[in-house]
Amino acid sequence: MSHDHDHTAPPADIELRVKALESLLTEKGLIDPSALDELVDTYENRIGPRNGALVVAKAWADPEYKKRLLEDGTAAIAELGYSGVQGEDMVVVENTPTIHNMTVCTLCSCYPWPTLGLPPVWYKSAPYRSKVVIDPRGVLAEFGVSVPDSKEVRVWDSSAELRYLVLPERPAGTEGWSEEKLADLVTRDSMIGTGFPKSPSEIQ
Amino acid sequence: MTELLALEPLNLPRDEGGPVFERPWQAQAFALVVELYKAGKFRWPEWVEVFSQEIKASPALPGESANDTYYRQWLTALETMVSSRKLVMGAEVSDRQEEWRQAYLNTPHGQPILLANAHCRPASGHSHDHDHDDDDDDHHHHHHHHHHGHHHSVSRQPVAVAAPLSK
Repeated sequence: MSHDHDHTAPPADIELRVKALESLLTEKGLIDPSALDELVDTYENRIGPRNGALVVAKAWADPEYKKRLLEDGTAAIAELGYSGVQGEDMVVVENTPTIHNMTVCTLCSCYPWPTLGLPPVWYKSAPYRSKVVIDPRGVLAEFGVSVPDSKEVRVWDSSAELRYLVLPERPAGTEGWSEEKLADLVTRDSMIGTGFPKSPSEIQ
Repeated sequence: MTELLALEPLNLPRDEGGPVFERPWQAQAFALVVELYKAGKFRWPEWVEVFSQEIKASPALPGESANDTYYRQWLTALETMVSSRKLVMGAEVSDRQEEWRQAYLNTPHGQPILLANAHCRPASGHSHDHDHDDDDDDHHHHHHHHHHGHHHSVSRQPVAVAAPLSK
């Protein structure tokens, strides 16, 4: 019935399902379509692990802040202006010379969005979610992270009610550094526990 | 058993600094859930419950990228959620999906895809001044009861601990 070029090829079914839901929810007044674009832009470009890095750097530089952070993570993180969806109840776990912490969401992908942004793809994957609780040291090895055998490895399961953030150990040789400069050392993975902060030589 | 599992490589997907969303529909599906949550249509733990059941029920398909799997599960969970809340029913979604498909087929290549084109092809291709029957003016404001402060007893304990191997 229609000639070539006289139509537009429909996209994949999954795209049509999203379009169907979006248009129905808009018509019913349940969502504002302009808010959707704004929200995507926020999560793609404006919320990311830099927020968490500034929290960690402040904890390294300011012992009073660190105390508040470990006692009430949600409140201390909100002091820096980071709060919102998936950041309502935060617990910060501290790495020490004897303890290494890692976080996971075994059920799905609960993750502290306001401090770390949206989770990396491996965090959402079934192999990570299942294996990290069975063999934490094996998973660390996969990431090329060597935690000394003498350390205890603790795995924390983030949930719909609360999410964990790892406070990594401050690298040696950073005495007297500003919070801004310290934050440059803090990687996303070091706050999930699948990595370490950079060493001073890596950023100089 | 643990040893057997430990021998298998993880082959984790990696996206160092890569895009958060691989395709626009993934971002749109993500945003729909967050917007409905912000509008108070469900509590976050309720979303996590539905989403994690979907993840369990419908694992990765062969050839699917990790993000395609994840957002397919996310979208199906969203459909389940809006239908269980009676916000949008399943039949409405499938009907609308067909309308969009028809709109694409009726729209000459290069012109904007409008839902109105589902039922009649655009005349000249540019003016779309048809009246839409907008009979849904009275938006009901549902009052949802939030249970702030009511947390299930969450044990703040590690789920797994690997003891030191040496002193």
